[in-house]
Amino acid sequence: MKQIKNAWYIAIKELKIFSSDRAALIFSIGFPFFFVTLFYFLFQGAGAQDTRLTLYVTTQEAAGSLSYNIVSSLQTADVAALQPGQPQIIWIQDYNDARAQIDQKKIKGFISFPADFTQNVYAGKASVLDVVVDPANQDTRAALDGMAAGLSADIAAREVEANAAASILAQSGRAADIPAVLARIYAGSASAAAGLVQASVQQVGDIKASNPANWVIPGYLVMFVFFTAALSAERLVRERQNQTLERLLSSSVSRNSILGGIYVGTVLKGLVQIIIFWGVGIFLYHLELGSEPLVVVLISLLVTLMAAAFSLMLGTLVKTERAASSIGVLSSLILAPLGGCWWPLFITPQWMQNMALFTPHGWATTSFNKLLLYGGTFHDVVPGMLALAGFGLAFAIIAVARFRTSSV
Amino acid sequence: MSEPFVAVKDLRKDFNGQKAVDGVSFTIDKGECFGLLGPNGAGKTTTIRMLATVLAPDGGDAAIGGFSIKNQADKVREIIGVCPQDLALYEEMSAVDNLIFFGKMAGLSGKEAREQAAANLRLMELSDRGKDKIQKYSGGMKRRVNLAIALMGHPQLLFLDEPTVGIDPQSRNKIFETIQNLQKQGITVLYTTHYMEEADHLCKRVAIIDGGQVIAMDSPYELKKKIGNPDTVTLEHVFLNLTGRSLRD
Amino acid sequence: MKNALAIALREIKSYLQDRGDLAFSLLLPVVTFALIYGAFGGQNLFHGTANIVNEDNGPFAQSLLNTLEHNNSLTVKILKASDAEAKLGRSDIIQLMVIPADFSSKLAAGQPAQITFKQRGNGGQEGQIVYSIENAAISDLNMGFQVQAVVSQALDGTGISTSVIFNTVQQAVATEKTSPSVSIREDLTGSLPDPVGQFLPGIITMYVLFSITIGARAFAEEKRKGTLERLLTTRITPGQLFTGKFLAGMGRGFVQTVILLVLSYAVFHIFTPLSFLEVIGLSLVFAAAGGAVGMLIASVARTPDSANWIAVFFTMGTVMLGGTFFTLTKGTVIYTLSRFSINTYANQAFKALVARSGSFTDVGVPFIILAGVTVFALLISRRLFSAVSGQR
Repeated sequence: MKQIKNAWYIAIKELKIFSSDRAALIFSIGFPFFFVTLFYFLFQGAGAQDTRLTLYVTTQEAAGSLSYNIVSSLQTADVAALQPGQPQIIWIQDYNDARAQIDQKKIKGFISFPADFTQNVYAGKASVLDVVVDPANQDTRAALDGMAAGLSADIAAREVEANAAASILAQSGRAADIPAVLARIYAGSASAAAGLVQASVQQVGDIKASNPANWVIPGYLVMFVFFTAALSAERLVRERQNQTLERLLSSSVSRNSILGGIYVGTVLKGLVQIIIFWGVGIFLYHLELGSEPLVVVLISLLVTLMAAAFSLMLGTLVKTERAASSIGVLSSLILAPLGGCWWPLFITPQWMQNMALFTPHGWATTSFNKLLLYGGTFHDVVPGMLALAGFGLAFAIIAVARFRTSSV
Repeated sequence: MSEPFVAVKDLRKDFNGQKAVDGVSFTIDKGECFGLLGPNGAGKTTTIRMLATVLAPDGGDAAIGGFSIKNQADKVREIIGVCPQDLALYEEMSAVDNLIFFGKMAGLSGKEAREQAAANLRLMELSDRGKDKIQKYSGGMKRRVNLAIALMGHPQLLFLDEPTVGIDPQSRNKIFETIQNLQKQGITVLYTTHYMEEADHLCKRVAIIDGGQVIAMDSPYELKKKIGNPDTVTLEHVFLNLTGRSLRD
Repeated sequence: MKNALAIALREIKSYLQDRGDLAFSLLLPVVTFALIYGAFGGQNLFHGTANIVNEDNGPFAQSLLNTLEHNNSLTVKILKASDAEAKLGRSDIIQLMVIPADFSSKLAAGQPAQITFKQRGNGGQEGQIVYSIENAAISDLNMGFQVQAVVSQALDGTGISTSVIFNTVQQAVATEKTSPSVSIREDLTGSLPDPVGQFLPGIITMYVLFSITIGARAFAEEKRKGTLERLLTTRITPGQLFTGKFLAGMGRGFVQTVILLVLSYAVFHIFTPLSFLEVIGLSLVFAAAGGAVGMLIASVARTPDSANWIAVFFTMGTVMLGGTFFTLTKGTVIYTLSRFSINTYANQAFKALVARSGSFTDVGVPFIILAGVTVFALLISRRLFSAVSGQR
């Protein structure tokens, strides 16, 4: 009981020092809101963009060919008549012109029917659809690939129809009827409805612009809770060097109380930060905590616990205040952008989102995004919680193993 | 003859094969001011750290107030106060907050800690600056606060490790007066210093340590008598005579 | 000048001899780049989420879901109808595919079945792409039914039994799925994104800037401890001390950059001897700009802690806006703000020399801007500089 009390006194002492240091308060709480406000206004209206996809097609065959007819039927005659989400399809008449436009960065890619397309289809040979695209444009590439896949399925269906009909007639000893039947199939006069599966699009409203505070504030919360905690390591080194920790030991305070007290003190600082961040976020920036606000609070707590453990670990591993400061600052400044604190991970390429999972920040911001932006629930963020707990535990184990109260 | 308050027997400590303390033995009576002198690196601070139960001895033992530093360290800590050589203070906090905090660490209740903090600040003549942050204090004031903290919890044994380094004569004098008053109250003091005249003035007996071993132990008068005329010979002469003039570190 | 150089050389020597500091300042950028390079892998592919409500759970719905789950560009997320509607209502998701409860039974009975796409607006960029992929999967599923219907109709009146037609059609469809008659061929016109050219310059400039500006803390620490004041009691003048400290920061940044560039050359062979020299020249100017900013921070800060925080503020801002991890779109506010970041110009110039095999004449503007920043920052910091607290 006495040791718990001592640990608590040490924790309160840490919090007292923190709250009386005006500069530290400004930098750990006020300063992040500078960035929050900047990005809040910069990203107003973001996410509401809903431009219809524009896709380009061309053919290397002449008029009258199968591909010419297909492209002609594909191109959008009237944009206003398009269904919601249906892409606008523009026909570029000349293949070489289309390639030139990619080189000039006027378009990002197109679908092309090669010169031997019709010949191969009618001969029953394998044919191709070319997707010509600048690989830097992943979205255009995916859109063109999707459209090409749909086209190839539709075109292939015609071939399968012809092959199946011919095969049946041949097997039934009615080979003489094959040309007439094939002519009917290709002319489309034998067409039934385009398959039994039909798709309809129902528009339920416009895209609402998301409140940028919903991802800006959690990002900076994670960054600055970690940052403040990391810089606390410097204090721990200083106390070790100036023998304050040793002095506590000689006052019958146990090593565990000192360790626990410093840890809890750092957690308390983090709690002050998260209360202010969420409070200001909700009241000033109209941040919404999603459908499970308690889970948001839980993630915030885990971030604080993890950061405090990191601080303790850093303070036990380094020898000088300067090293503690440098490593604390550097690690915070590196982990923040990698972990999606400066900009949301969902706008970054997949590889960057994968890389973020090496950082505790990445798990934290991803969890917050799931809860605040995508209507996620407790189950959706269990992996994130486990990861944060894992990081915190690993840091804590190292800290406990390496903690010493004197420089010798 | 009563039991000594501090009985150190054959204390040893090695650091990576190097003998920092090599069989140190001495006793201190209750209420005595005992000096521990020695060149830099002789083992004084290591000895104090072992007695303050911060460092575990590799050999030997010591009893403070009847409690073994090895087996009853908790009991030892309840009756000691340490004023380390480095200023072990929280510079971001005020003097009174430092005192209250360390008082609580010494087992005082909040009220007791506040009362004692006020009393110790008065003792050190720092009451009017008690609410200022330590970082604004002069060197002498910091040393006085350092001593005031060591007095929290009414310790029976005080370890004073070079408490007057780098301060003005007024602050130094204040510290001497305080130590003498404490002795009158029956508090035992283990005092280390490089200022020989301090040891001569304050200490009933001194032990001179060199190379981790006690090479002489007696009252300042008797030690001076061994060298020459005790009225003209100084403790510094004794020290240099016993430890030599070559530099140690 | 001799004294100033002596101060600078002492600090650079100390940096090179401090194995911990050296390792950290070199290892960290290497590890960061290695992680990015490994994660990036040269591939930059779309990945979207297909939100699906499956009320059917029959074989045809499962077949459709299997097709979508095997698509590497999609993560399939099955939602409950009520949750999905709520999320769509809140705009938490903006596109949803609903497979009704009678989907499989209707198809099995040869009746049409409807899949509904619910979306907000056009579904957003990702939603439209996901829609096209889902549509392709539906076309794939539809093939069997379509072929069956067309062939049956075409052979109507021939007296051939429906079972023969059905079996042959199924076989033909299965053959088509294993060996598609119309395949897709990608023709990638530009060069694949080059992670070395894209990220290496940004990572180098980021870490060098970190080191220099965080070094401002050490300067403030020296001021606090009185070691700077001690130097002034020797024959050194304040101007020489200032110059020495600036050259020290610049030298340290330059040495760090050169070592990283040499490592890059050894691993990626991205330079010619001429371009390497050009990059070294650019590194000198960038290090000078960083060093000057470091001096400005050190001159303004009163304590080591405030030096730390100012350095953090500055480096955060410049790295965020400097195009380290991705290119900013012209015409946006952020792009305008990025013009105030020295990293922007440094990264532009390094990329031009490294990735685009440009020459020194191609990087004239960034070079001049960096030099200008150096001069400006030095002028202001010299004015504010004092080695002694409370004194000019």
